[in-house]
Amino acid sequence: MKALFVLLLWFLLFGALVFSCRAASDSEVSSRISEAENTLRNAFETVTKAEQLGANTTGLVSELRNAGELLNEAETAYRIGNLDGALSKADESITVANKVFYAATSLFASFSVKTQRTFLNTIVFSAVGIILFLIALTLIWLWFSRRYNKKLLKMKVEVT
Amino acid sequence: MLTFTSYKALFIAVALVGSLLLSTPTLVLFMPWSGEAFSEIWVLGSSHTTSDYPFNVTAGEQYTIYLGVANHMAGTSYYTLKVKFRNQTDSYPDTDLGKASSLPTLNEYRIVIPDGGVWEKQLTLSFSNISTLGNRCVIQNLKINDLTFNVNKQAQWDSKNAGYYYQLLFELWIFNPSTQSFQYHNRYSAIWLNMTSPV
Repeated sequence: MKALFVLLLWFLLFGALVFSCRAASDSEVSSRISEAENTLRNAFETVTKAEQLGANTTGLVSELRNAGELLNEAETAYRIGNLDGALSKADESITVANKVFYAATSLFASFSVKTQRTFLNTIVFSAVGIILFLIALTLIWLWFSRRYNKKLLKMKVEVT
Repeated sequence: MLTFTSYKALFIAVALVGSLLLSTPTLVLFMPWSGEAFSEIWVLGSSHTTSDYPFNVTAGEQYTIYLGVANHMAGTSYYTLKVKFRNQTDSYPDTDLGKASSLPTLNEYRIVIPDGGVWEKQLTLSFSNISTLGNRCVIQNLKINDLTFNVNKQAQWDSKNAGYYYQLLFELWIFNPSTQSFQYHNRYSAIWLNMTSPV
């Protein structure tokens, strides 16, 4: 029974070793490169959305640039037949792009709330400002027209 | 002294101007950015100038050029630079129609550039497996940095300019989030190459 257990354990360890040492296949690398492309696109879109809201994305753009370079390196490695190198670079690109995506998503969320508040405050400021200004102007006009009329009534008619 | 109607007109004018001034912050929020958005692409020679482009090329030699892109699109942009190789009769980008060359892409560089930022890359070119057949020259391999491309490109002898002329073409494409794809940005840069001594 013990010997069977040791044999089974040996098979499992050997299997794990073989699995971890296997070379990357062409289709696996190709699909990983596509995945890296999609991840980079998603990250880029999220970063630009955050940027449009006024967030400082300098650091994230620099990271995105790195992800793009890694993707270029993955494609170069793939074209020269270095599949393991390509897989590793594509994985690195995915990791960097995902990191950027999550950071940009949270930046977008926080700036989205801030921007909405600023937007609302600006509209309210303008609306209230205009209403108060018009009320004040109307009151001034009423006071002025009354004073003007009084002045007119006090005028004496001169007959020449 | 002004008349009552004139005072009325003055008050209405003040009311309009004041309302417009107070609504300016809100109007600014709805106003689109009106600056000119554009991108630049360039190729420079080995000493970073336009005077030393490789022109007369030969097999086995290495030539250095610098490829650059600058972003002035008022926001971060995601570009793809496509490298194409053509002879004098092959398809060329059409600036009027905004169409890219229909030639296959040899290589692509994905670049993310912030607004006002610049990207530049050094490229080392070399040619191998060149042959001449009558008045035709065939370049079999073009190497750009570490990558060798089997271009198998032939050029006719140009008797007017005395040479076998090829062109290395760099097209700039930009990612359009609304279509979720890269589209030709109507920008390209190219250098002419004259294969002088086929081996």
